[in-house]
Amino acid sequence: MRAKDFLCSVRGLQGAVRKDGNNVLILLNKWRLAMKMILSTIVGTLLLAGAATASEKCRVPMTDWQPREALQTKLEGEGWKVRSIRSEDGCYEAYALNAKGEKVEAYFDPKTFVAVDMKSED
Amino acid sequence: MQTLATVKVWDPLVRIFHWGLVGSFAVAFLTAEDIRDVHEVAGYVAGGLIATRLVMGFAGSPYARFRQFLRSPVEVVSYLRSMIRHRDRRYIGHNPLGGLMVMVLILAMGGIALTGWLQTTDAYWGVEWVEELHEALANLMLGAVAVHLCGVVFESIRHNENLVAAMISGRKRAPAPGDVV
Repeated sequence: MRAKDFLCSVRGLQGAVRKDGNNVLILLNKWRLAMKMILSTIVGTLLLAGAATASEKCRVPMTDWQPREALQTKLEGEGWKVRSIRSEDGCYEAYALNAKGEKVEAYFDPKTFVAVDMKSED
Repeated sequence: MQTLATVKVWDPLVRIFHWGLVGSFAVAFLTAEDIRDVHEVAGYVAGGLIATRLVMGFAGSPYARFRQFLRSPVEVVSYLRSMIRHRDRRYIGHNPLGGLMVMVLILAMGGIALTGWLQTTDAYWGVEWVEELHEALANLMLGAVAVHLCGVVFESIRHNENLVAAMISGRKRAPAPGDVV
């Protein structure tokens, strides 16, 4: 190999390394951007979903709401010990001990008193 | 290079307690509305830290003991006055106002943990006044933390020392004449 060729190949190598270095940086930046977009999309979707479910658990016009005493009477008739009833997500939300003595947090449609959601802890 | 002599003030347990409480309260606060499991774990951690701190208040290292930093109302007021007149002395441990704040924060956090746990029991499940007390105490805690931070910044500037760093390293500048040891 002649000295000139050697030098050329070394320069070529240096150039390639420099280029690759830049490429790696560009890739890194692209990766960061992509992660940002993915994360913000996930967070945004979750927030939207949360907001949607939060507001859509029950949808009943205020005029159709039965009084909460009626719900309390109904639940007590089923053997529940009602601790509190509030309005939450458009529903009535009752905290109670059910007939089996389990702690329950239950959501009821304020018009029909159909249970929409129920969480219980022993 | 100037080297300043320092003294050990906050033992490791005090520091773990402090930053552990910061973390657990922050997590509990952020998860209060919708991540109940995490909220409860954070609450138990905070409650455990408070219980430990109460024991340390009687049997811990010198500057952790309540007797070292709890002052009479008269002393607190006179310290406040000296502060206004810019004649407050530097305390190696908690100053009288700082000591009062420590107690307020411990009691508020203890009350929050207690009322939070009560809501998981059969007896107080869904009982509204417990929930309201829990939230009111949490708001009190939030306000107290804000005042606490103001106090830390004020004292750090006033006595030209980084009190946040002191709560990390446990060390403070050695007492000078006139400082309260």
